[in-house]
Amino acid sequence: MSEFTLPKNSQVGEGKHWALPQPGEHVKSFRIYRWDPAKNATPTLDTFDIDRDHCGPMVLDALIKINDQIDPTLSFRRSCREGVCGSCAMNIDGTNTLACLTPMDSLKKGTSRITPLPHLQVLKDLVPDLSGLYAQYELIEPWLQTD
Amino acid sequence: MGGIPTNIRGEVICPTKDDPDAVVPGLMAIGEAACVSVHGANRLGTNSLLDLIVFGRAAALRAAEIVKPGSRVREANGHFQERALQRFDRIRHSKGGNKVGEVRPRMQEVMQSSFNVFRRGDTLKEGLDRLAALRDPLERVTVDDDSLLWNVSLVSALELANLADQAVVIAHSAYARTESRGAHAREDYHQRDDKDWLKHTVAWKDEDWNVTFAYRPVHLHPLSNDVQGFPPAPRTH
Repeated sequence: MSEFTLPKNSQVGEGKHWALPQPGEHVKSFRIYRWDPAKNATPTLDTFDIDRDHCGPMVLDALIKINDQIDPTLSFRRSCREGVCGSCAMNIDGTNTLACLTPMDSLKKGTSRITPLPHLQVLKDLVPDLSGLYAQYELIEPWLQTD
Repeated sequence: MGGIPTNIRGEVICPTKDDPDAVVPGLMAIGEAACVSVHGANRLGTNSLLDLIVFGRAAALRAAEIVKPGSRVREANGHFQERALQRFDRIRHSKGGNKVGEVRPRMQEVMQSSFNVFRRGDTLKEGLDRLAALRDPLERVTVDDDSLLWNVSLVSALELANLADQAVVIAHSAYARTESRGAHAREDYHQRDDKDWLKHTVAWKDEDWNVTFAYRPVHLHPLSNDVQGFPPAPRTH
């Protein structure tokens, strides 16, 4: 009989719940993928409660708020925060999208799930390894070609 | 507008007593980091393409000229290496007690309210004092995580230190320039003052937050005979 094992780190456990110090009126919760290569542990989904009355409108605003005020160790890429650079590409509620262009109002009610872009090696938390993408990018020589 | 001063080949300039356009050998800057200063005192939107297309290429051509194939990278001076590493280690292991995410918005608020679009001597001075009061919290932050793998809290702390350097030189330069020119609009000095201020500010900030200035002349003459220069003129609508 054949025996199957799941690849390393494919089982995601329940992580920490960062609740609000005081209950807020407009709260949005995110379950966010956490994995730190330095810790010898499988990935978890941490839950962060965001007080929307003290946060910008986009998912990226919530992530930055988490970094600034709740857990500064949450890793994700971000740069322009206006949809130009593509750095904050991630999977939000099953859709690959940019956190900076996703209004929290557009998400389903209740808890939303944020995971790294799929099918890529994860470096840490929401940061996938893009070296394969860059290699392909270089291959197509995406600059203005002159004779 | 502001940035690391460079010549038209992308080489960084550090003015000396004898040469206002003295080149720092081997150091180059391009794009939004650099100031070739073709835009005058206000770089309008999308004109940044000039820096990308023209000066990016010029810098590449100059680099190909200076760097000989197979040549070795010069050894860094041990003293400067040590200084850079010490700064990195100090920030990486800092346990000053202040959260980066709390100090940064405070600095942003000061810059936004005092060094904004329309500036005035008294509010600039007030902003300078408020910025000086932030020195202690800015220099005493806590980095919770000392790992070197995608350590966002370390990057934020390093970015905050860089932002503080920028904020301080911007603030002092804005206060010192008693005229209105380009993006620098002073409500107490409405006019452009070519007699005293047709010059670039070069600012140095030391570890004690003292800022010193030097000035470089503005190059107003095109390098081609095909076009006329544009002398500064009042902006009218």
